[in-house]
Amino acid sequence: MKKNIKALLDLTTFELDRLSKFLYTLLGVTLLANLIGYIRTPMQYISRMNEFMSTQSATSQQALENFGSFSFYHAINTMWISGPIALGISGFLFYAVFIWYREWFGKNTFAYRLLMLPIPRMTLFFSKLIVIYIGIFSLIATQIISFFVGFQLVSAIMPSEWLAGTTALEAIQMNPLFMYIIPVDTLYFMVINGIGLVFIIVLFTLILMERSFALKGIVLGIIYAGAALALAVSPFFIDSILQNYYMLYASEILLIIIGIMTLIAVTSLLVSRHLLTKKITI
Amino acid sequence: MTKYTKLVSLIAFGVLTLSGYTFYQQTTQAEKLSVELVSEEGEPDALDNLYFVGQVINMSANFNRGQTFEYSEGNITFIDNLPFLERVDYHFTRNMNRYTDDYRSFMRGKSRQPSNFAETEEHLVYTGMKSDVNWRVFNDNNLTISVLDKETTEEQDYEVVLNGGSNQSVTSTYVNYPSLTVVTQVLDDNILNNWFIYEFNLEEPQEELEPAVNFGSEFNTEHISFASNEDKTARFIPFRTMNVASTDEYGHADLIPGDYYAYDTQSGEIKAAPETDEDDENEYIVLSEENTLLIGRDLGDSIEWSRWDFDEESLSDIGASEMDTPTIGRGRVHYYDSLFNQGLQLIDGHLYAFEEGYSDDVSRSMNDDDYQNLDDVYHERMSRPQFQVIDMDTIDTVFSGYFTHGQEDESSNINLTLFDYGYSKFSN
Repeated sequence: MKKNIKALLDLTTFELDRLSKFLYTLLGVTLLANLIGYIRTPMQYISRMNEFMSTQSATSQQALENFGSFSFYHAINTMWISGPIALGISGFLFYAVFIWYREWFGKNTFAYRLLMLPIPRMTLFFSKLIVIYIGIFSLIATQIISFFVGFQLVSAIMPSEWLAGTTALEAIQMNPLFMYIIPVDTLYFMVINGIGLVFIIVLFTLILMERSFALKGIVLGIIYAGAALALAVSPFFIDSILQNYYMLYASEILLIIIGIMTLIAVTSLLVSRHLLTKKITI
Repeated sequence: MTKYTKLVSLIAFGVLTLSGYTFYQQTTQAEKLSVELVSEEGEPDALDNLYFVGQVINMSANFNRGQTFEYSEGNITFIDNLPFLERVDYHFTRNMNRYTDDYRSFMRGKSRQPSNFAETEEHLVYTGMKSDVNWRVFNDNNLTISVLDKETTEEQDYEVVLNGGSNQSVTSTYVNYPSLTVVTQVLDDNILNNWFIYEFNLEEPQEELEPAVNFGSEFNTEHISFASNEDKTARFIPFRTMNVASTDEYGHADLIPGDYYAYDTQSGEIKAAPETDEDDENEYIVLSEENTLLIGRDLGDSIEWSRWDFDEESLSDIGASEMDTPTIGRGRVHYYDSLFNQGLQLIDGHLYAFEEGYSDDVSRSMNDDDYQNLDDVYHERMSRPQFQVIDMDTIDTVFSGYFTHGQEDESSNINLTLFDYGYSKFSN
């Protein structure tokens, strides 16, 4: 057991080293884009206010009445913030596929060496899964810290009389996008991450199917993915089937969904283990 | 160990940042928003029959999430503080939560509309159409009646076809066990806003029911308005006809009150309220509880009350109540023309009056060009839900007060709104 954990740690560390460049690039792009947003957005507002005051011979108060005050919400509700988030999501989606295929493609077939390691092959699976989640949570954590640093930056740039009293926390809570990627509401955050985790496990299984059976694996994967999706959304149709929208309590439907998602995840893990140990080819 | 430094650092970075953010968020919000009852007269326990669900929200953060709370039996509970699964099942009507807590099995498969339920000391009665639980059913006149014996938890179910109109909706049910009086409204383009009363005997159940009263044909009008009444054991059901004052270019009728009536659930008789003059500029209030019928003449700052003897068809004055504001209890709470007395309820011989908020400055400020001032007034109006309780035996105010957010900073822009409220004799 201890040996297996050490192997998992070693492999995760190894995968993390391979992820590093990609992760640091994403973190860098995020911070840089955020920084531009924190500076550019308030500067645009200030120049608009100044232009209005000079062209209209208006006072600061009149300009304020015309444009409204500036809040941190305006600074974070821009593409400079949502862009890197979208990039991060799509980046890790891509990396979840790349993390497997890189072992087969390239100068040497590295998969051969990995699969020959004297450890349970599922350790490979878990190390790749863990490293993706480490990357995702590092990105989220960086985004959170960026908000609070950005708030100080915006407050320093913006004249206090033009700045609305919105706190960093309030500005974050206002944006519906952050409801899902930042723990604004723990329930939503857990639901989204739970769905995301099952999605990645199923995706890994599909990749292993393709690696095991080639073209047949792709067909098998499509059928498997369709079946998993149908099963996952089936609780939403229970009301229609029973022709009564109150036959089940919301908590019961939620528990059924959690049960089904767990079933899908466990099935995918078992299928993946079977494929990794018995079927996979190099 | 050093080879794990990067791994441990990144995990620690993620965990600490996310948990730090969650902790900061929880402590900051908990400090900011709270709700308290301010008593101006009397003891707050006078509001123990009151329950409501409300929201407190910081309006300075434009789209900030409000915090929903429930006031029940004198206690305020923030919904976010409820256990996770309770929060998932939470319904924004306190009685529905009480029913699902206490009678979970009975409530399975039943709608969550308060108008579909009537409660007595011994029974919980459900009267709902098929379309209340299955939104794909149209032109529905199939009524489901379920009666729960609270003590034995025994449930009796009945399926009844309501003749008289299709696409019916139950608006209230009154219980005088074993008799049920079911008030329905027909939502049919061809029979606009028509109302029926059906009588059902639980000991002699029928498969089909003919209307006991067809208000459309009885009063030759499509505009009837029923008293909003929390006491579902009341003998009398007050209602009024509505006259069309004018019709706009889109065909929408502007309605004004016509004559006042009460339906006797025991005898099935309908009688007009005596001495209520249709031409009187003042509106009337008709309230019922158990065997009592009260009529109030709304004079603004006060209401003149009379006891209506239904059998003798006479009125006897019982005095005038001074009201906290000229509009408390008489404003429209729900935007349905089909209900009146929306802000007044008679419970246990006490009159409960509610107002979303009131300010003397409104008329002046509404014409004021000063936007900031208008905003302040709006804020003031929206953030002081006010209640007054009057003992109808002595016509004395036993409680007067309001709910407010616990923010001491006067410049704060925090709104307090109620979106469901009611009174109940029954508790958990």
